Amino acid sequence: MAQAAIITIDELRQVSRPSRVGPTQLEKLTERVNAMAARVQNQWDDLSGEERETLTAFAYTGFQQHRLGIMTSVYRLVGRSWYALMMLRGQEKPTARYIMAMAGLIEAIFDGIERSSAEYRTAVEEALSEAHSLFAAGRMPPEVTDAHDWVSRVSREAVTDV
Amino acid sequence: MTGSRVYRVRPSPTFESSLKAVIKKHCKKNPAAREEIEQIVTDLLKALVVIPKQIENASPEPFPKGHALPGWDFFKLRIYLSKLNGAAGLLRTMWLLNEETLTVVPFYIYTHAQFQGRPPARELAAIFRGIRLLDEVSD
Repeated sequence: MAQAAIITIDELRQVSRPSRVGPTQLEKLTERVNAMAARVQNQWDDLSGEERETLTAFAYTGFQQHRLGIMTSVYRLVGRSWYALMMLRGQEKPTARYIMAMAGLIEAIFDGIERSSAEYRTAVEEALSEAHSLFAAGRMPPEVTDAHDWVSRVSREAVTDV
Repeated sequence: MTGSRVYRVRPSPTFESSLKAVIKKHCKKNPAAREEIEQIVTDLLKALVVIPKQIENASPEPFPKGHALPGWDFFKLRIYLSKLNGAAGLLRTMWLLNEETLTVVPFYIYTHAQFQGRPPARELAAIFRGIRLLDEVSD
C-alpha cells in the first residue's frame, strides 16, 4: 500500500491563498500553516522526493532574491492587495500571525533543505565533534568578556587574511 | 535584578573560523553587510550571557545522530540580514548550552547560501508552473 502523503500540493495551495478565506477563517488557516511547518520540521526525512521537490519550489519561489528579505517575500507570496485589504478591515493581528506562520513554514523548508545537504551534515558534525573533544579534554574555549572587541578582532582578521 | 543567572560565553574555534568564512565570502566588498553581521553577532554574544534559551527566532535543535553531548542542549538561531540578498541573507548560528555549569558555546555560523538546494531557475519555474501552486506570484 502506498504511504500517505505528509504534505499534499492541494493543502499547500489552500494555505497559501488567504484571499480565498474570510477574515474569520484566517486563524484556522494560520493553525494549518503552523501544523504544516511542524510536519516539515519533524518529518522532512520521511517526505517523498516529489513532496520535497514541491516544497523546495514553493520556498525558493516564495523567497525571491529580494533585498528586504523573507518577510517581504511572504507579503509577495500572499498578495499585497490582500494584505492591504486586511489592514483596512482592522485585521492586523490575525494577518501578522498568518504572515509569521508562512515565514515559519518557509524556514522549516530551508532547514530541511540544509539537513539534506551532505556538506551541511559534515560541517555541523565536525563542529560538534570539535566541541566534544575540547570538553572531554577539559580544555574549554576562552570566555568572551567583551563581545564588541572579540567580534571586531575576528572581522578584521577575516578581511585582512590572505 | 536578583536571581538572574549569568552564563559564560565561550565561542569554539570553529565558530570563530566559520564567522571569518562568512565575512570573507560575503562582506569583503560589502562593508554595510560586514557592519550588520558584526552588530548582530555582538548583540547575540551579549544576549547569550543572560538569556541563552530565550533568544528571539532561536529554537532547540535535535543533535545529529551519534553526536549528542550529554548535559548540553543544542540551539539554532535564524536571522535575516538586510544588507545581503537572497540565500546569503539568511544567517544561522548554533550554540550549545550547559545549565549546570552555566556555559554557552557558540560553535558554528553560516548562511543558507552555503548549503542551499535551489534548483536552476528554469527547472524551478517548470516545477512551479507544473504544480500551479500560487496564482499571486509574479516575477
